[in-house]
Amino acid sequence: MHDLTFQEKSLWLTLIAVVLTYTVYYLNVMPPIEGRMLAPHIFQFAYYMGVLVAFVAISHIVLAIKQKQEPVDEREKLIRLKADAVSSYILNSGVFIAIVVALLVPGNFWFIHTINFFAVLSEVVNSIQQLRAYRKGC
Amino acid sequence: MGKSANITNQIRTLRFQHNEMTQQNLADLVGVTRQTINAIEQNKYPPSLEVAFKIAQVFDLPVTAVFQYQ
Repeated sequence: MHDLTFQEKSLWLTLIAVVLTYTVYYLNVMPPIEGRMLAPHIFQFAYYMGVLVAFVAISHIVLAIKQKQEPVDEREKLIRLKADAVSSYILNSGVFIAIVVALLVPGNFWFIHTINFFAVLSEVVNSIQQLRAYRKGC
Repeated sequence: MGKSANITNQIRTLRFQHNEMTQQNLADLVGVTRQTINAIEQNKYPPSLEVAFKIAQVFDLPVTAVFQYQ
């Protein structure tokens, strides 16, 4: 862990937070009782978003106190750009699939969760891609 | 992703010839992270022209004495 840059540690923290939060969230809301978002669903969604934001914010404050944040250099920008290129394909595909779901499935539950799932998936793939590039080279 | 096989460099040798300069010292002089210098040394990342010239400038050498294209 000592050899990791601030950016790598930040990526690990975000990746762990996103995977854990959304795994628990999806285990709680699936399968849906009705085809639309009910009040408990909306509350849970807001609650888990709050938990995620709070965890990421606090962990990054602790990280910034423990380790000096260096400016992002050209290699890190390139790593980020390459990861963004891959994850944008996933997000775009997710939006298209969500539109198809909205047309075919009544209610808003599956539409919202399809978009949400692909947003999470693209974030996870983005982080993994960046972490891999930091270790293996770009 | 992976090794940039076409561009090699002499940075590690040059660092040792310059009072065993550390990767961190070189990184600070060039304005990149230590991990980026390490990646360049191991041919895992081909630097931009600007960084290549800055590294050569630190060692007071022409860029072709530091980096070779094969």
